[in-house]
Amino acid sequence: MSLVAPVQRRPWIAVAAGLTLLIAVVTTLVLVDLPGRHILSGRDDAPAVQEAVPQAPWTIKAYPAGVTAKVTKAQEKVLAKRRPEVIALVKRVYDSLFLHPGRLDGTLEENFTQAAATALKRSGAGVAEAGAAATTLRTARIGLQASGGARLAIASVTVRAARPDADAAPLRHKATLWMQRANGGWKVVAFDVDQGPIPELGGQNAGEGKGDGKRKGKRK
Amino acid sequence: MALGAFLALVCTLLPMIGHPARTNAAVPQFGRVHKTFQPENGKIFVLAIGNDARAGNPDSSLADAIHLIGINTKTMKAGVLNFPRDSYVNIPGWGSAKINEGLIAGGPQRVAETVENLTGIRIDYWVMTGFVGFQSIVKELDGVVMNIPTAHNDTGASGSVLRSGVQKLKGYEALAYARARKVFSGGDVARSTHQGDILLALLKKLHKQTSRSPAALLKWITVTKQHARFDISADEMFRLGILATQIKPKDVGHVTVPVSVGSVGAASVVFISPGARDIYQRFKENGSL
Repeated sequence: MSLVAPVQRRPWIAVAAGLTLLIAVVTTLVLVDLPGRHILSGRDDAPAVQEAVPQAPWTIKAYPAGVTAKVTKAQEKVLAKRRPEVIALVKRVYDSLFLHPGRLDGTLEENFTQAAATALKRSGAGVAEAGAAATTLRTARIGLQASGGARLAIASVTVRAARPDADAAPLRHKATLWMQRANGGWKVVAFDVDQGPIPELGGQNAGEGKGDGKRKGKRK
Repeated sequence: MALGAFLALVCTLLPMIGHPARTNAAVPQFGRVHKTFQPENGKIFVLAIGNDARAGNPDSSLADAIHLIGINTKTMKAGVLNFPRDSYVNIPGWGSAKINEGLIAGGPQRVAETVENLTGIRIDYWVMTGFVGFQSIVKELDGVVMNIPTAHNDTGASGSVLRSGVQKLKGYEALAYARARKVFSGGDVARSTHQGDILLALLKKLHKQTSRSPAALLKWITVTKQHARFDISADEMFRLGILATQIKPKDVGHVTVPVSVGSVGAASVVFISPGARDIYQRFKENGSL
């Protein structure tokens, strides 16, 4: 019996071992191979990219704007709801521009009017591929309309970014985003962007910030 | 041009002298001239009307300030064409009369039709304000900086008493300057030109403020809303405002239509010179001056 029994159980043991091995392989592929695959393919939505290139923390101030009198409690209540929404929108747009350019199309489709999206893509703002820049400064000042149900917002955004490529000058990016709330969400209806290399202070390139490489766009 | 500019511009409309108040409402009005918005090749035209009502915007008042504002959204250049209120023109359905009677003849819409007939330019929006609306807007925007070319003392009529040079005008001072004509040799023509100057000064102010902080546009919108009635959507207003902030004041020309002085019966009028046709054509084609 003792010899027979192992023989009879052998198929089950083989199946269990096979399944275990399969699970182990799949798990390994998911946990290990996926990030590498993204890096190799140039996709930028992998956590590994963010970890590889440290980014500056955001400094964002969202304040009531268009105020001619003291903000009422009712207005403040609405502002408190809208504030996180516009902050999230700005972060999403800039993550797509500087960290995950592969997501830019989706972000533009979801968060920009068609005209503004087309124009932003034409402007060349942001970076072409993930890992091409490490932000060293990210600030935004967002004026949120205090009256009228807080349906309008205007953001002034400044980003500075170093570039791993030794020959590439650091980037500076200043932009204004005009945002409007409609149908339960926010849309960027217009933007104004000025992006280019940071001039080397005191160096040969000093004062050349307005020249080569500067990309500027004003679009609706 | 965008609302902001228009707001500013709108606000700037200059009411005139001599007619008693007829209502108590102090609300500029904003409206479409046509049901459909069809900017021709990216050109937008807005008619700014300043009525002479001491308060409110009744159609029974006279349009004593008339300015056609054009914006080319491709070149980002703009223009303001000033019409002296005594211009003797044909008002559709009313006959030949001073252009300021267009308001009595059929409200802001009729004034727009009159200017369209005169210039051949399709007007997209009109906006109107009166004495109180204009003064309040300038006041809440903390005044407007103007370069006054000539010192004058018009205490008897408009109440404008100003030294020459660059100075910040308060709401009531801006209104008085916009109304003053008797102390200037150019009379009605000079007044119309000064009104155009005020429009540009407001645009400069908008531009300066939004250059420092783009969110300043929201205050302009708020102030205009407080003193205006809008027949255009909030979306259009916002986008017009954005456009206004993007147009540089140096890219805005302003011209007063050339006229010759005359009279019809006992009334003193001005006749628009044939040379104005070239200006209309250029304005229509370029959207700027």
